[in-house]
Amino acid sequence: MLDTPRQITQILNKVLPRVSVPARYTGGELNSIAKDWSDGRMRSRVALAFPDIYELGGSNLGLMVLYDLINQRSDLLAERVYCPWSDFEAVMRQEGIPLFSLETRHPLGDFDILAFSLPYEQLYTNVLTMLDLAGLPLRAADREGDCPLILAGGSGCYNPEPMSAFFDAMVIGEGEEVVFEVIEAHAAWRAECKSDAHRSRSDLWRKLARIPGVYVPALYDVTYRDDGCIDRIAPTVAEAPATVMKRIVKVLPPPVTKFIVPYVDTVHNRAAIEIMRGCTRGCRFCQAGMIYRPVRERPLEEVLQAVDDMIVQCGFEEVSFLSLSSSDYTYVEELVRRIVEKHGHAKLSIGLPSLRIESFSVGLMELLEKGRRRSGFTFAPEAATDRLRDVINKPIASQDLLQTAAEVYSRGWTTIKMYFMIGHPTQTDTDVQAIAQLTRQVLQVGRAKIGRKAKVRVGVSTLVPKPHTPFQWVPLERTAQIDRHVAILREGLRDRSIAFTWNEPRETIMEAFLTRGDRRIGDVVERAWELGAKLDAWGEHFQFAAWQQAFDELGLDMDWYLYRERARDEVLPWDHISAGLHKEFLHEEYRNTFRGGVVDDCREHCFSCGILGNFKEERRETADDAWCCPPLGRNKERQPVDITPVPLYFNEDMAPDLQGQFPTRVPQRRAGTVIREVAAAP
Amino acid sequence: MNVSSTERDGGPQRLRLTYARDESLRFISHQDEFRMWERTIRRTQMPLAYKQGFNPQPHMQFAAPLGVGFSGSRELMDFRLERPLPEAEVTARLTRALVPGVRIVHLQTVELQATPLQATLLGADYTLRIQTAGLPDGPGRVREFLERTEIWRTRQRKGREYRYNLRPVVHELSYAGPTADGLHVALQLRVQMLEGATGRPDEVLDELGLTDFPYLLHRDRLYFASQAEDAAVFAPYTLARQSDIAWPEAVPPKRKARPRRRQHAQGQGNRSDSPQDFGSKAADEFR
Repeated sequence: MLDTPRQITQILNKVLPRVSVPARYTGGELNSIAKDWSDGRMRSRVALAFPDIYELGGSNLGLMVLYDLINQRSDLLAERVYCPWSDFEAVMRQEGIPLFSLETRHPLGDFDILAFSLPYEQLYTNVLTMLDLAGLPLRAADREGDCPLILAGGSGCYNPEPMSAFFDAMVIGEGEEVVFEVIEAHAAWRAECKSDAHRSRSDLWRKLARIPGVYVPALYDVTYRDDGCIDRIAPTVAEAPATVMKRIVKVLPPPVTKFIVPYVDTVHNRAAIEIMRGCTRGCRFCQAGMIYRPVRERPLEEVLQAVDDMIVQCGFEEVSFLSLSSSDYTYVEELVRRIVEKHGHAKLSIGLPSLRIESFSVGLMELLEKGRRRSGFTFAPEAATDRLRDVINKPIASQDLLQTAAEVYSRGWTTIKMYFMIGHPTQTDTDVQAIAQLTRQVLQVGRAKIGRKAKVRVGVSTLVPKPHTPFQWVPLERTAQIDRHVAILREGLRDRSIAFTWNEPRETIMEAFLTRGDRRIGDVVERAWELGAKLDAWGEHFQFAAWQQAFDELGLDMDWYLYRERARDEVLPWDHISAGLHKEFLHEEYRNTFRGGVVDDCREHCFSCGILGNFKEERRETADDAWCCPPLGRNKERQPVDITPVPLYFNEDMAPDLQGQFPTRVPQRRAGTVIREVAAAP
Repeated sequence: MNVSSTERDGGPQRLRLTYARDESLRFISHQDEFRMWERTIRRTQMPLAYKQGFNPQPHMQFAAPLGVGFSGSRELMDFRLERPLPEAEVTARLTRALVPGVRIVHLQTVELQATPLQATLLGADYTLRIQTAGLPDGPGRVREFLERTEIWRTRQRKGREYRYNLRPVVHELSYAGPTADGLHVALQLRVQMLEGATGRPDEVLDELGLTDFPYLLHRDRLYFASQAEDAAVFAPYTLARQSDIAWPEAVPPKRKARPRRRQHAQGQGNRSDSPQDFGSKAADEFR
């Protein structure tokens, strides 16, 4: 294997002309930071790894945040590495090129810390590809002292078990503060190793386990019962806590503005500014809405300043304001108005993904009309009947959707995209047919406004029950049922103005056994990878057969992981990891699912999900309006609080005998805490 | 203020930028470069003019796109500002906002309605740099290339193959010998660049059998018929047209336009009726 940046550069000049999109591997982008490795001040060198190709990793905000934070320190450096596409991987293996960082082309093995982002499960095999190309042992247990610390972070770590064998440590929750604690611990251990030859890697693990929010899999034992379920997951040393609580930041740190400006056309080729973290709606299927609590909004002035800085430092023609529910951001209308006023003439395009139908006001629409537009908007009703929307706790009225659609079409936009899900618990054929009917109604509304130009795009995915959500006990929908429902939709959505896309069931299956898997699935991942599984998110590479074979060889039953309804008292593989929510809260919500009980937005009514209990200190240290959770202390103005989620109402078909707070259907957030202006400065 | 006297005061200004793009950027495509320049100008906060429409494009025009595998010393791009600015200021602001690997050579104001550069493009000079310590048969390969009158090559266009004669579009080719650092050898090439009859340096290199070595294709300069000195350089050459270099049978007989078939009501109505691949799903997300 080649091992210096110079050798790697020389060979790249020879081989890059032969691969597709060579710019994926060359670096040198504006705002990328290549520090001097021979600088004596450098205490730690971190490689930030995103296990997919450049086009997907290059726009990942989480990685950019850590890159920016670490590089701000004069004694630390951070560089990036992405997964190579299959053609370049083949060239690398053939020519003995180790996986290298983009900035200085150092082989990954030269770094002190390798930090992988795990945003979704389809990337798991790419982690193994990258470790293998770097010449590093795949399993943490096989790594010697001088091997870099291999770390994981991201939402995939909320069920860390499937990938637990491959990481020395896994960070749960928000990384902006804890990443430095991990770097310090590692640096301290290395210093100790210099003076004491008996220091081993397990000493490093114990140091890391003491850091709140860091899960060290090797320090936990898992035992199983005869029926295959987990008996216990328990720490084996005193330093490792029985439950690893996620880390949060009390307020959002200042946003990144000096983004790396890619040459390659990445999937989200624009600036991204986080305006709000967390979500108060409480949709039952949604993992992000559960794990990113509490809701913290970014002050408006900070967002506006960030846009100004971004323009001078990057020059992106589009800026996207990220959150889980952008129209729920308190100052969203004023934000858009002031951006358009200041930058509209320079054709700055505004992206507002994750719009919520109920809070997407006409005022907001009119503001977005100005400036550079896109062809349409995206909404995610997820279910098309009132009953099923009550079940998933996303109760929008079809009438509101149609009215919003009418407003959108009449303002010059031509396309509306909608996301739906099939495979919800209690879903019937009627609910599926309703998706087609609702889509046609939207199209009709569009045609009434703009005739044949109106278009609707429908994306239907299959529900994958996720850990730390009320649906974590729900079995996956059977493939035959999925196929039947897709067939119903294909028939019902036949129209030249409707574009219908759906998920391949086998890809859904793969996500499903990975996301709720236990440690034994780690063996499946490794075996499937050995059999050739890689780049599973990309259709041309996805090989279901490799996964099937891996399960068979290891004597594990894929169906058992997919189709089993979990019991209330079952030890789930992620029970020792906490998102700050009480399991009882999630289970009460699970029961409300089958009663059709709709629970309010927690800005209106707090249900003691567990966040305030687990983060009391942090809440006390923040201003009253810094979180959407109620403030602590006496004489504070706050929303009503209950210790259990009390539904606004129960669906009359599913629970005719039960009564919630109201006898009839009422919308969430009826107190209208939606959009406000920033109060004029006193 | 060096604004052309033919412009109304305060009206749009057309600027012609000559710039160099070095080898560190040679793997980016033309679309990547277009986007790179748009963002560079946006960083300066100068009033870049945009075209009309819902998805407006900036007023930027390249004389001859470079593409993947190339670097260039004197590349040209025209762009338009909504309000005129002094050239010195534009140059200074651009220089501060450039990406690494790009350098400004010259900037001047041109008439708003000046002929597009592409329209008068004649040809270009290239330096082909091969990474090898020595190439003893270099002169021989060049001589052998030049002695032939027909060099038939095959390329793909719009999914179909076509054959063309490379020789008539190559007007000068010489072996320049080892470079100063002793690690490379260089060849000099002059080709014409006309519609349907363009000499591509990578084709020449391949024909010379030299693509096994790591190589760099560097465009030294472009030639334009609108510039007298450029026209003079190309005057002695016989410029080939597309018909001169096309393989005789390659041109298919002209077909009568078929009437468009109307979509059946019960046929395959859905255009994107398919499982969606991850890449487009990710790109679609939030759009």
